[in-house]
Amino acid sequence: MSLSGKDKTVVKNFWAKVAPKSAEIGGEALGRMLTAYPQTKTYFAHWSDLSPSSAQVKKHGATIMAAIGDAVSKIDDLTGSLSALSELHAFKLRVDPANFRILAHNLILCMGMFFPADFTPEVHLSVDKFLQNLALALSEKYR
Amino acid sequence: MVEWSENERSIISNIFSNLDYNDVGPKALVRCLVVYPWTQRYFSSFGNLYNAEAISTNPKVAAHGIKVLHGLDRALKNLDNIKATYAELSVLHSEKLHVDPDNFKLLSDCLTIVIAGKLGSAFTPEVQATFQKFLAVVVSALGKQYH
Repeated sequence: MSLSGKDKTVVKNFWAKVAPKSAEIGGEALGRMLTAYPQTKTYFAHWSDLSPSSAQVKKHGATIMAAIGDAVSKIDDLTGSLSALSELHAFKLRVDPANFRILAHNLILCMGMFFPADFTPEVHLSVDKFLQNLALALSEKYR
Repeated sequence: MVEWSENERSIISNIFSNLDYNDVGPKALVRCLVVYPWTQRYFSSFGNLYNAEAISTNPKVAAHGIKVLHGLDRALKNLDNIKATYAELSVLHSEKLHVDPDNFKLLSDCLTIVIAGKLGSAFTPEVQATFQKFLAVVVSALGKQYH
């Protein structure tokens, strides 16, 4: 399900709106993921506080969201531009790729919450495809 | 059997008592048909599903969205026996409607996103976790009679 020209335009336009709230959405999404999908906490056993209000969670959520925003600007070559991050996730972090889908769901939920009028079904469709392609690019180096 | 705390029961009950079925039902089904277009395979008799605009204004889609959402009422009333409560509906979806059970998860994700959009910050991480647990149990029950 590769990204059409229309998908790329929709994602870029929506991201321009989302950008000011990027850090907040990222932190919120990560916090929700850790709460609603407790199995994901296994990747963060080295943190002292895994609650949604945790500074560690908010900071890391913001980091992830910033990287996603960067990927939006490089949407024409996700595999190439995410090569280094793919290596990180494959060889060092070894996050099971099934979790990318779980985080994507929570990111989408937060986008819908923060921008209810803008996050129409059509925007949702393109963003869902984008995050799916992102996850694929991120798991490129796994095997 | 699934265990529900008093807190979880109250969260689930609150969500449904404040739910505008006529708004949320259609929105959830529309979103599912648009975001996951292969789900349209079950609705060839619904007429024009040609694009997002057509889907979102299709009266058959709206009516069906409301019907499906009310289908959750029986789980709400039988929290301690959801599996048995949905046995008949599970058989229906398997043998008459021939719905791939993977689709139940897609619709339940869309429903969660629509409700989150409506409730905003009131849809806290805890509420989200509880509601998703509730939907997961219903989805599992609906898939139980497939063979």
